[in-house]
Amino acid sequence: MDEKTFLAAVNEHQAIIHKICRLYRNMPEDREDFFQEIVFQLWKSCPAFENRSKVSTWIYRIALNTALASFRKKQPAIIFTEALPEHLSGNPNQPQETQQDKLFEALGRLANAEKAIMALYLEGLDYKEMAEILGISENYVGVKLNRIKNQLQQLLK
Amino acid sequence: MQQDEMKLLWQNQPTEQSNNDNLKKMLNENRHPVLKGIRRQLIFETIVWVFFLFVYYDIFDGDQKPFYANMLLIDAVVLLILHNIIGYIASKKQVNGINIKQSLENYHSKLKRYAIMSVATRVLAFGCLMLFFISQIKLDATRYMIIAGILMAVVFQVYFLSRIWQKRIMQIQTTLDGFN
Repeated sequence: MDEKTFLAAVNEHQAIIHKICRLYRNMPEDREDFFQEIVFQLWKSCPAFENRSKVSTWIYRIALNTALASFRKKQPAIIFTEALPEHLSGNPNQPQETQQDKLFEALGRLANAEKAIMALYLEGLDYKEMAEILGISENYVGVKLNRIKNQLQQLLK
Repeated sequence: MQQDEMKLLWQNQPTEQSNNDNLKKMLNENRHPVLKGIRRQLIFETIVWVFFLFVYYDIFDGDQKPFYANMLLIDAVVLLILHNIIGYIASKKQVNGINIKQSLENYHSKLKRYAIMSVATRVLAFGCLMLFFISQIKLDATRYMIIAGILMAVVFQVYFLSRIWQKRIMQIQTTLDGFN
């Protein structure tokens, strides 16, 4: 993949990278740096991409991999409470952005590996694609996903 | 919140768009936020060590020390510089595997190897430097006290360094456990 094709691909799928940044970084300034880190890692991994999978699948794999393998700078600890804060709890008339905040707040409480599994599920990938990206069996994807969904439902109650 | 609703919220998350020019700049290693910091430190440390190599012979009486002590000191400095360069190269590419689990396993092994190398380099370099400084000098009570003080400082440094590496390795191990 040459630079032009690469940039076009990243441009088209950059929403994926933004979502991963939001999932793994709480502070907006951290997300900016992290976005750049993912784009850089994608570029470094580009020669190994053989067009066997979809570009979006490849971007997900590298972006999640970068998130799971990176160490964050020391920053003030974020203390998660047992339940979600009151102002984020379910009101059907809430604007979409607040619902999104609520979802990300709940996702933020999951362990790193669980976040990765959930991100692929929410993106709409099937078990086969998820298993391929994660390196675990399809059956195990199902088992893990059920556990995480239950955990998430509890958090979103 | 229903599963379909969650999917919709995830998939329709509004995101800002970076243009091609901005994306192109991100491919440049010199603009990389983390690598930039590591590189700056690497350059600074290398300059300091090379400067030290140029002046140590006159300042610390290298001519009065045995040949082996001079060689050990030079080896120690070269070892420290090489270790920093290897660290910089290693931190450039984190993804190495056909799937996330395999890549994390490879990264975990790489991290363990580098951690051992990092701690061993410090201990070895310190040993070489100490040998240089204590060779050909008469050790009295005061000097023993100074050496003991330096030794304690190094032990603490090695302890904290090991803890940092241990934490990082544990973080990757915990993530890997999440896939097992």
